[in-house]
Amino acid sequence: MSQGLRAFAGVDEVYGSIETAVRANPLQPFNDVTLSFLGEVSRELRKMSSIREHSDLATLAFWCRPKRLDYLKSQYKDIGSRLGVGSVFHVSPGNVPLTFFYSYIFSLLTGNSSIVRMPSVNFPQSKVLLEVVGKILSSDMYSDVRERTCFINYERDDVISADISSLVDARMIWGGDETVKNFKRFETKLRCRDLVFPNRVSVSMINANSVLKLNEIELNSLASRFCADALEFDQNACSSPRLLLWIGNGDVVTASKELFWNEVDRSALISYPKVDSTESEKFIQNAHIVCDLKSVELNHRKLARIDVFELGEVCSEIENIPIMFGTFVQVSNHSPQNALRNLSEKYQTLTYFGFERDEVELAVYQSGSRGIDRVVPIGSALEMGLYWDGYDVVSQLTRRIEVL
Amino acid sequence: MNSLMDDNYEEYSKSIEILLNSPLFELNEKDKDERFMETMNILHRHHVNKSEHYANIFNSLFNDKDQPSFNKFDEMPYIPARLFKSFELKSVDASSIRTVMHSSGTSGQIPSRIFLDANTSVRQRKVLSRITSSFLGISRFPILFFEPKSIISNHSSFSARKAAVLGFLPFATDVCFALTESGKIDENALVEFIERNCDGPILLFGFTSVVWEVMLSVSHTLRLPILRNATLLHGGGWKKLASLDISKRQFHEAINSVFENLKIRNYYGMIEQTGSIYVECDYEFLHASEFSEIIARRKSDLKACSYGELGIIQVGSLLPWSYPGHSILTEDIGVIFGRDNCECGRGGAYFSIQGRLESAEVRGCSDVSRA
Repeated sequence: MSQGLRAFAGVDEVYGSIETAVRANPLQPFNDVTLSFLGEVSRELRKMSSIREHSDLATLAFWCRPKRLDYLKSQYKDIGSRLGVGSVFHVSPGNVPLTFFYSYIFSLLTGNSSIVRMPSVNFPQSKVLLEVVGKILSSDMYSDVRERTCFINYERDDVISADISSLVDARMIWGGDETVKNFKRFETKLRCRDLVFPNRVSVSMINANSVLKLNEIELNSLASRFCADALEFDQNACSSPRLLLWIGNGDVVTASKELFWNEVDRSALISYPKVDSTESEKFIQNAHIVCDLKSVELNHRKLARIDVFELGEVCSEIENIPIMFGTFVQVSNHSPQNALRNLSEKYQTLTYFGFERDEVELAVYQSGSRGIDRVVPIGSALEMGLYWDGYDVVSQLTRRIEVL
Repeated sequence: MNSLMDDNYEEYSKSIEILLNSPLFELNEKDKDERFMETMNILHRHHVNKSEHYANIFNSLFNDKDQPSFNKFDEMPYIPARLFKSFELKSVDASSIRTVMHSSGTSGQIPSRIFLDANTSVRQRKVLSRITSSFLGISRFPILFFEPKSIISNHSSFSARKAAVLGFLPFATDVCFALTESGKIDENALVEFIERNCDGPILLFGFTSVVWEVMLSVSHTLRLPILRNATLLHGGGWKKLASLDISKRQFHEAINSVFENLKIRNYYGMIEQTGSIYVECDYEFLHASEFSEIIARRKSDLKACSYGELGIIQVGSLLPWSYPGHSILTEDIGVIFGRDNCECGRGGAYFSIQGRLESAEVRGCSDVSRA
């Protein structure tokens, strides 16, 4: 810790040292020691009783289980010709518990060392994770990972942020528009690669006809998957849907909406009950929504937990104003291509139901939309992947070496 | 002026005139509801017709679109106070607007903007002094403002504080601005004013946190004559004092160590409803007058609270004609204790304010929450 020196006054090196991490050599992606370390993390987490209190930790443990990592490795054909870029500075979002750790995993998997600025909020999950990591890394078996791991904390401080930015070979900048703007001001190495994650919004597309064919259990399952996508982070996660695109003809869409929203409302009340403190915020937000979207006749469906506004067509206000707390905007359309056409580059994830995978894929390509970096079935919106926000993280954080 | 041509304007104007010439805090619950809601309904229809924002919110967020009129204030639709920060809310033609009032707002915050036509401004001033004089017992009196004189200059921005000062001025028999331009207490001016007026009734008026600052900076050697019939009316919120951990008792003690025998009354009001303030009685309860109404709504579902139940405060005022501010959901929390049965003998609702609504913790990818 003492190696931090004067340059990093004000930085709390919670684990590891910035200097050691910066100096570490790059490794090959999906190298054995990293895979074995992450497998260990997965095993340790699953052993803990406290994991039941945090579904996101359980998801993380599942994400980095050895079988899955082996599968991921097998998906990349040229990793033998790749090396990590070196050191990566991770700027975590302040208010999501685990993004910092996925970001760390991404850079470990790609053969890099990590300096991870922790979220400003002290989540119990981060504490659990750091304990697990510390315990595993105390074994000399993992010294390669140990010297490439550094978790830090500091109050917002541009001098520190600029200093660290000047040392690293890549930056993963989460936290939204303001954070990205701020970090882009700092000088970096000329070849430093920035993966930036500004504010994004997401959308769901549902085939109305398919909803009408569901039996009770299937409808309930669809609703609970939709709720998990949307409400786990009160819709404030960039991949959580705020806009719903209904595909189908008039009567079918009307009947389908009725079924769907009533079931979503029931499911939400059970799994994501109202929080007293958000009710007035929700009212304030919805008052802003009806004023901002004033150009259209708004049809408002108010249920116990869910509010839905009906719009004639997609407009840019939807992506620029807060829409959270169980409020959604919906638009109906006859074809997927048409529905997706007006989505701007602000749209990140498209979740779908009632379509074949290939059908949606084709619609996305044919629509010519500037947005949509990710297309997954409803229920998978929050799953982190090595393709994120349109980046192929493995190729972005490695150098492809040509040997003739 | 266009607002004068509105169908119900004449009826509205008349009802305010009647109230201005009637005694205050006299109506019982039934009569108050009847009279107050009659004018409220005129205001509601006016704002639905003239304010797109109010109409959108009413039509989209309230399920009682088809209800011709409302019988009780808790049935009224309401708009959030924060909307005044986000939109230009007007219910008259832009050409009728004479003044735009800005909330002082701490730095970095977006101020609220209140659009006033001439008649709305005049009514605000009349009602402010009407309510105040009802508590003082007389209608004209010497006034000391804890403000610098520059607050009334044309160059200063139009704030709720300026509106209050301008509202009181026409009723002042003697005036003192007790602060220098740098905001320090002008002890000479203070002493001279008190010596001139100590025998009769006086009104001292100021922003709660400003009054507190002044009390801290007054020199220990300052000796003022004993007051006979003086009242300090202060308002603007306890937020700053609460953050300094200053209790109401400490506040009162500090004031009484400088001003002996000074009656201290808090008032509650907001820039969106300037004029129709709520003033504290001798039993330390705030009171709604014939010009205003107040209820609390439960945090859990925004339904009306019962008496004694803590909730989010919704305020009603008969004064906002040029902008849709007649029914507002605030971000204050408080308790309505009852109506017509306060020990002080005043009719109407009586209540206390407990603080600000804590803003909800928002989780998600983005670090910036809404403005």
